[in-house]
Amino acid sequence: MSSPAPHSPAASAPPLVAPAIALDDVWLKFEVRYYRQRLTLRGAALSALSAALRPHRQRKAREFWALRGLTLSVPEGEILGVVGPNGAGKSTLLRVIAGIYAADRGEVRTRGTVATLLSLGAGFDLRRPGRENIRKNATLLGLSRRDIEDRLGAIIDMAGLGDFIDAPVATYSSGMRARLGFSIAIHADPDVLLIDEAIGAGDEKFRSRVGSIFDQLSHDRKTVVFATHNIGVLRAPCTRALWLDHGQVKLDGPPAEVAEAYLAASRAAS
Amino acid sequence: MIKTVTDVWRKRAVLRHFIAFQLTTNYRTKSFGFVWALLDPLLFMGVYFIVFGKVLGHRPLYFMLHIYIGVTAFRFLSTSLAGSAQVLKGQAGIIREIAFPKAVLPASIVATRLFDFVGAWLGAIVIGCIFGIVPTVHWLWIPFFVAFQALFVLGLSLTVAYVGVFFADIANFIDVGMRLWFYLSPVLYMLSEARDKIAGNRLAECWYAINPMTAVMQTYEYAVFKGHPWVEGYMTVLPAKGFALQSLLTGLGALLLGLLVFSRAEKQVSKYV
Repeated sequence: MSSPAPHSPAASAPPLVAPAIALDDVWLKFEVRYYRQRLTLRGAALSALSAALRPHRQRKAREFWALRGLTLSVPEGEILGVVGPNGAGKSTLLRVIAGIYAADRGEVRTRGTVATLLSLGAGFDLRRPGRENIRKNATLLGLSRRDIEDRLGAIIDMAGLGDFIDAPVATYSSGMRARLGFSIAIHADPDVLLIDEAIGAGDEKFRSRVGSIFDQLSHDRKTVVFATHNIGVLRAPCTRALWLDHGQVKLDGPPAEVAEAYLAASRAAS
Repeated sequence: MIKTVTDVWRKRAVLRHFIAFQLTTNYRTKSFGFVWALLDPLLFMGVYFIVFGKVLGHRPLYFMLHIYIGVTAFRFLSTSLAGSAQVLKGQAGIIREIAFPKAVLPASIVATRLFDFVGAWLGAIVIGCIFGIVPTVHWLWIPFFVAFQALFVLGLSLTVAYVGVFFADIANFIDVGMRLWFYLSPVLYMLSEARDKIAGNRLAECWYAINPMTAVMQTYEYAVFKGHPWVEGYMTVLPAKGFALQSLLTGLGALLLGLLVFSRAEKQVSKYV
């Protein structure tokens, strides 16, 4: 297990405090089903034959390792930004931390309650009104019915939806959905908050609001991990950055340094 | 496996939420709403009675109650399975968004359908009174017998929910399979009649002996028709002790299988829904 990076604010904390998130040599695979373009009797017979003759080889071709031996330790109070090209494993990493995916190898540990905002839709039921979706997501995030009713007003306020809260989520813009999802996740009052890209859908005003909320969370010793393509976002609220590529850590360090290296690599590639 | 159960218990608020959700989607979207849970089996009872009680045979009117109970018991099973086959894919959005015990999804389907089934039993009381089968003290067994069937339905639903993730075609098989199962269970006829017809056919005898829905139907038949001497001249109400035990044991067995399958699935489904 790697020790916390020296620049992190928690480095000054007693060394025996367990990190908020700890990944130890985590591997995760997907089994990919390929759909044949045209199914013919001859083709099916041939592939069945080759599968029978070389079962091992066939199987290997179907596995896709999204995370390859990831080791990571995130102390309390850290705001960790994760960058990387499409398919680097950012979303998969967040889902493994959240416990949505189980690691095929290695160990994942988190401390305290975890809240997630992993897609623009936040898993909303589009036909149902916003209010009902708040109740659903908040329940799933572990809030009691009483807590939900108490916080309902604050959640709606922060999302800035006004009367739309009683309209089906299908009528919302992507920014509105992102704000609602974010507001629910924040009001679940988690120790660990995991966010995937969703903030990107919000406007400038919302994003600066998110920045100040992150600062407050960090101050309260809460931990945030968020994935992004927007390198600008990376520089502002993060205390640490992680560059993922092909399911492995390419660079782990201060946001400015990682952002610069990542930008340089992207430019060189294009 | 035990973890699957304790996880659901810890997250019972989530289970409660999904039950309320299923109930409102079932009833809010139609103009007759909850009435359909009663009307649908009533209409089918009428259809089956005309075909099998008048056209193809001669049944006394009170046999409609037998058909009604069978239709609702099978409705409980088939709607639970059909709903469970699709529920994980249907809730894929939230499964990929937030970590929670997935077993609550098929469990909420079964609970909702059980709710319908209990309502249908209230209908059975009314129908019974109309046709002269007034509830007796034996009806007090019904809640237990329903609970035995519910164990069976839950176990099967957990299994089907898992299979549905990887094999969407299961919905079609359930559709046809349930129809066959219905006709091959003593609903439109009595077990004693079936036994007379199939005597000597080992395969058929074996089927009626192991078919869990035979036992379920016989427990209901006993509870409803026992103690009505004038009915027993026409119907042969078999003693229920053996059937009740069989129903309980197959229920527990199915639940065990379902939990076993689902506890393996729990970690994999989020990748593949």
